[in-house]
Amino acid sequence: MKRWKRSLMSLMAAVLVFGTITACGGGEVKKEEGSSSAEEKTVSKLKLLGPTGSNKYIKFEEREKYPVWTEVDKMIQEAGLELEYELVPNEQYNVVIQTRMASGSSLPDIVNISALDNTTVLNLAKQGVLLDLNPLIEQYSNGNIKKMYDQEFPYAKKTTTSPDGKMYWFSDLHKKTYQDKDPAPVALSMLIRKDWLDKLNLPVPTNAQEYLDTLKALREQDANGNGKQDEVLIYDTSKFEGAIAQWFGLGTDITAVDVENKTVVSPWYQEGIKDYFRYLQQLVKEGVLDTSLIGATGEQKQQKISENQVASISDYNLETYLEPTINGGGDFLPLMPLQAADHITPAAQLEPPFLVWQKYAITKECKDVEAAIRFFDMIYSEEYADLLYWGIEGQTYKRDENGAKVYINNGSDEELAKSGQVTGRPLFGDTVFPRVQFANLEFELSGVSKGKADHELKMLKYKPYFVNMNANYLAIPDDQQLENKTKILTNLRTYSEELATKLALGQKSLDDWDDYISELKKLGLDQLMEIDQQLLDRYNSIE
Amino acid sequence: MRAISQPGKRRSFHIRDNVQLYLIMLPVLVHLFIFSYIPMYGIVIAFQDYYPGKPFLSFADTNWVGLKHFINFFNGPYFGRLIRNTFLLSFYYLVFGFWVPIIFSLLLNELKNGVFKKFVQTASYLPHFISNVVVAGMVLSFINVDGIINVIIQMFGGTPIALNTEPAYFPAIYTITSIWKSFGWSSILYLAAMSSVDPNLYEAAKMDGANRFKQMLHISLPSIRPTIFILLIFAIGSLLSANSEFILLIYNPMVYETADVIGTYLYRDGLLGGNFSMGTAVGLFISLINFTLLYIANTLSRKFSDYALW
Amino acid sequence: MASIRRNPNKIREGSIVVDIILYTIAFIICLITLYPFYFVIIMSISSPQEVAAMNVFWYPKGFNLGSYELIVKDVKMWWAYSNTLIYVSAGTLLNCLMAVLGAYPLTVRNLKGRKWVVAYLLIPMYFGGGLIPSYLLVNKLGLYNTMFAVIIPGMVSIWNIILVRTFFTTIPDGLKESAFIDGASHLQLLFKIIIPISKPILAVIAIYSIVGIWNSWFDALVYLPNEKLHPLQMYLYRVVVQQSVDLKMLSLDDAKNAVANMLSNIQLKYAIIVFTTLPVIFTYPFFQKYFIKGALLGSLKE
Repeated sequence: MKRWKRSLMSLMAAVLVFGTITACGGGEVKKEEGSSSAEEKTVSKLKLLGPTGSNKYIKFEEREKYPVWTEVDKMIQEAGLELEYELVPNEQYNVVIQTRMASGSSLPDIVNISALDNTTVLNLAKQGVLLDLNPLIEQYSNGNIKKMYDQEFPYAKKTTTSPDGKMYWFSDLHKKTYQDKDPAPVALSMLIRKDWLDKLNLPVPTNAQEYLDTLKALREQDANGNGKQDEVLIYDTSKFEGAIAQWFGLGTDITAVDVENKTVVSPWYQEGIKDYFRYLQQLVKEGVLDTSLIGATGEQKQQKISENQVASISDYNLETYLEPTINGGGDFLPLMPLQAADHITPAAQLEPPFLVWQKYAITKECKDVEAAIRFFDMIYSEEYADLLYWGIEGQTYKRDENGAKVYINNGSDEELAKSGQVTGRPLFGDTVFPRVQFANLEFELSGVSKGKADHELKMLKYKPYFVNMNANYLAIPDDQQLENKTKILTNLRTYSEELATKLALGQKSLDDWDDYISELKKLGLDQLMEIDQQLLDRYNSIE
Repeated sequence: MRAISQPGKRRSFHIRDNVQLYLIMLPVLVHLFIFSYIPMYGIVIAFQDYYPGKPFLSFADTNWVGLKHFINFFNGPYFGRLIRNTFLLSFYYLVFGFWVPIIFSLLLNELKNGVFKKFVQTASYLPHFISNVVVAGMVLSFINVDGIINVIIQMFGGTPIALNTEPAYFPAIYTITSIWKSFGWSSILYLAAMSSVDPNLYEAAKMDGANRFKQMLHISLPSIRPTIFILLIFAIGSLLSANSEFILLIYNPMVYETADVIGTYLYRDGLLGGNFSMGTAVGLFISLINFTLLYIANTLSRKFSDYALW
Repeated sequence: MASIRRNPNKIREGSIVVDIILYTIAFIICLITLYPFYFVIIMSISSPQEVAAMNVFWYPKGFNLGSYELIVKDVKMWWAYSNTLIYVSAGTLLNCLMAVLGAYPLTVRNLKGRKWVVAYLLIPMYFGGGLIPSYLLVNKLGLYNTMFAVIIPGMVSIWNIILVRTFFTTIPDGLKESAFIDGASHLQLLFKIIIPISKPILAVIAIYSIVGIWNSWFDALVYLPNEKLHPLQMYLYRVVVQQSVDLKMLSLDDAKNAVANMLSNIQLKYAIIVFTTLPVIFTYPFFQKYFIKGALLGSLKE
């Protein structure tokens, strides 16, 4: 018995030791002391909760050493705010915010709730956890928020107004313009290895048939010179988000938004769909489409690119991140939408020039809502937007001969972290600080090859087009709409992906087309299109 | 040596014994009550339309939907396929994988104690430490058209096979990988059980003229019988749970036919929005089936083998 | 007798042919199971380009310790190391204790309500209330964001209890009877007689706990928003999460950063695995001696 007691005692002692260690490590709340002695305004305190950034080198906790933060800090003090941050590591923020909001206790004043889906957020609003922002903006704002939301980013209200007409969150706002006025969408295109074409004296393909022949030629003539016929096209046949689908006039997802015509379409019902699959079958038959990479992860695709085996892939026309990873180097050229089927004008796939994403809300715990609005007034100012996206003139950006802002290349993130010459975005964007971005095309064009730049300029006004982010054009669904959507989507998506892949691989025959369509209908395709059309209509009706 | 020897003459069993024994168990019972039983009220969301932030048990605000989520799942177009795949993948793992650690530990038991034996044992459990993501990456690069397996096939004059896009091969790939990842780890338990065998038994058997195989059959194997049965009961009680975390990393739409299991389906469903209620309902359904299987397995085991959980 | 105890294998020496076959099989198994770890190691030290291309199979290509440098220089990593040591030592101790306490009474056949207790143990293995109720509970108990949040909820493993119980049932009743004749209580019997002869199973439970806790991250993910309390495995989780970002969902702007992140993480992943698993692998041989054939002979005979 004695020995038992002794072991119990030592156990308790051990637990006590752990207890003291815990106490030492507990609570990582950092206070921001404002030296507002000169100010007459009383200083208002706000608690903010958000994720840390994901940058390995440029960290929010070391913000004091960055000049850009000094500027933002001044703005915070001028606004009469004292901010207390609780930043949770990026990778666990999803879980933390879900559980915290579910418990509804010990909430901060302002919280980043991007990880929560719309229905959860609207339900939280219904419980009274989140405040309706519209009356607060009316009552307290100095006009900044309205200016951004009404004039600079008129699209923002459309995607953030909930079905009950209220607005529960602020967002990241982004727009990209060219020559200071025209909205500038960038395109997602099929990219092809320009250096291989040059090496083998092949012309740039100008229609789908030529594209196929070119890929064949690259393969047969061993463009990468490793002695094997391993030059491939990476293309995910299970979805419609690769740019080849748009050559056949198809939307970019099971249901896709045709922005110009204000209608929701489904590729399954579009004219070019069968020709599309016939074309994919050819690509598979000729061995140019690598079927082992269908549904593969980014890392697996990256392997092929690194191994210098990718002849063509669907990606941003202005990407600059693929080439440096190719062993031995290379050069991708974006292709124009190629004529692929009779009577069908090939469409482009564009990234909308205006983007709205992320959610930042004011909670019921906020006692000083006036101060919270002051915080967002500060955020939605041009001065902040400049610091966030462009940084400091002369340090992180300069103006080109036409006056457009372009970044100064100061090196890798690791070097930037040492020199301190960073913009606000990697340092504090998407944490508790929303991103407000006035991007321009001039900078994008300055860093790419002539082939890419020419392509982009041709794409600026290209029609017809579909967009890669359909959700950006849909209003928030109400409970009923969302329930129906989720109920339909999982099954429909499973069927659609499987069917599209099997058709592309020739494992299913196009002869049984009517069966497939009736199965898709049975799974609720029509109903889904109807809901999305309603959401698109509501989106367009919001002023 | 009988595993559970019948009590001979034993002293009488008093209330005091019961009290003592329950006191010994008390910390465990209390802990389970607090950390396992109290949170169980969360199961009710299977019968609600729940979203985080809603109270679980408020009569004013919860919308009870009865069995809606269960019915949606049962009536879904993929219900049959999901159940079949989930069951088959676990079943293959049981049939082809269950005996591997047993054989392996018997084999190890035949090796002489020494550096080599220790080394083999340690090496065998290394795959357990490699995270799923890395194993998946390795497997995928092995089964690729130009991967090592196809290189071997070609070496023997065969034609390369698209192993990762052909549904027929998926169960084999999954099963082999799972066995390889776990057999060494599982064998630890059997080795521990075998280590309590008195070496004199082997000597006695040898004197009776038993060869090594017979010694293994009559001494080593019986020593791990209780462990085998208990593990088998639990394996049967988890026939409706496949390692969806791993499947997610190695499947693709082309092999959904044989690879899509309940867990992966729910994962894709969850991506569309936190569908908590549906997930809980399906989880509850699986648990009920598994628990029933466990019950049946235990009953059968008690009847035919004398080993049982209760 | 004494000579046998010193070398229990002597009696088992059989034909050389059988030995050769057995050793060959063991050797092949060894190769198959050693390979992945070898693979991870050579990936972690090859040049990043070759790693990204997955070109490394048999021997390292190029040489680069950049990933290790990044890890070793990270102060937080060392914090995490010491945290993990605390979680593992406290958790393992508690787990073993609880397993023994939970298992012993269930081996006494006359225990009243034994069946119900077993059912009580088995139900939580199958049914749980999910994430949010557990979070609310941990929060209410004041454990949230403290080390206890990962130690206390995980200190009872039903699986371990069942394994220990299974082992206990193989102990001859005669041993127990003789103790009771001496007037011992159940607790004394458990700690004086049963535990000393149960070293193999305790070693198993200890290994299971050590490795289980060492590899766990989920409780920390949910209950420990404070990075200073994170265990080692959160590092691997971070890398894996950052790598699985769906590039298709990102704007051109963000895609650049995400690709850069993905590339730098490809090799880091392997280095982290080596760095975080080597220590725990080397704890195994320490426990291994308890599984060696005949190791128990001594204690049984005394």
